[in-house]
Amino acid sequence: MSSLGLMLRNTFINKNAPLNNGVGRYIPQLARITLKFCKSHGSSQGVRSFIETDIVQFAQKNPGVVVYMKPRRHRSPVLVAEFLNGERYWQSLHNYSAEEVAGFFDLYRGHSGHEYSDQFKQTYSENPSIQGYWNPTTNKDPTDAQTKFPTTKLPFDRDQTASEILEKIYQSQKSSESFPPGEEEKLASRRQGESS
Amino acid sequence: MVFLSRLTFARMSKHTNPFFGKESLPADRFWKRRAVFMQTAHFFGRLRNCYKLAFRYNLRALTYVSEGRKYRKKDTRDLWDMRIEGACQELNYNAWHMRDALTRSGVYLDRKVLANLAVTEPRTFRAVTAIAAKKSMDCTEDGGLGLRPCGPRIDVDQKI
Repeated sequence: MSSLGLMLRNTFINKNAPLNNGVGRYIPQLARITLKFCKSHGSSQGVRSFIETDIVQFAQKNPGVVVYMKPRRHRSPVLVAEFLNGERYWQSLHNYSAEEVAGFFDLYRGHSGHEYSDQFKQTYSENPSIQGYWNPTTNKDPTDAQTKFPTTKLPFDRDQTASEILEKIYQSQKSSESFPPGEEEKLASRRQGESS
Repeated sequence: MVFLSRLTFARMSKHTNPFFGKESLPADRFWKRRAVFMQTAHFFGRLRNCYKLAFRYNLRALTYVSEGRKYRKKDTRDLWDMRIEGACQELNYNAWHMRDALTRSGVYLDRKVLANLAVTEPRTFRAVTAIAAKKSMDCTEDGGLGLRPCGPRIDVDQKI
């Protein structure tokens, strides 16, 4: 049984407590429970014994919840829980024992009313990015935005050309003064293809 | 209970003996098929509603899920590789050398973390690439890779 088979929606559950309920103050989200049962049929036996024993206690302990009881002849027992966000949950209690009925009351008492959903991820992070997500301008020089054309600066990194390398060697040799006297003028004036 | 033959006695004890017997639950068509329909509820048309087809196509779906676990790992790894390569390319560094350079530098981050850093923590990724680039540019005598100048323009020695 996958979540697809159960028709469970997949969501990113990004809050441990919906509305941060309970972080400061806890507000029970259950507004109303309606218990529909039959006074005579055997399928409502569990519900009837629950009503005899535990329901008043439940109502006293949860003053924010309104408990309605609807005896309806020849009907299967049913529980309908309604929440503050408008969600309505229908639960059949057909042939359930009193303990099971009490269990469902307890379940819906603490429920947030949000739809049941499966999680895409098992991990959750409040701040997934500290330095800020990458965007196309992250690694770009901000002065590029104020570039005025024409410009001598190249927009990409380029390897040195052979001519540039030779120029650099020449300049470094010139500064270190390692040439014999007449050689310097000859090198400066001579170009490829030219006859001296 | 009176058993007229040993065979019937054996058959009975096989199914009821608490130590060696196995409970044979009565075969119930509804529940047996329901178990299949619960898994095929998201299929299209007759494959969802007709048992014979649902059973057959459910087997295929389960096979795909099983085999897909292997492919998911491979696909995720390829995705990480692509992301690292793209991020390195932007910083003028050849990602092919990244693993080697980082290992030599003592940075043992895996593909998953590097890919996540590239997306959520770009400055850190730039720093990691600078470390890799420095090691790549070092000559082989110093333990580097001896590559030409590459990587983001960060002077690692000055920063450390």
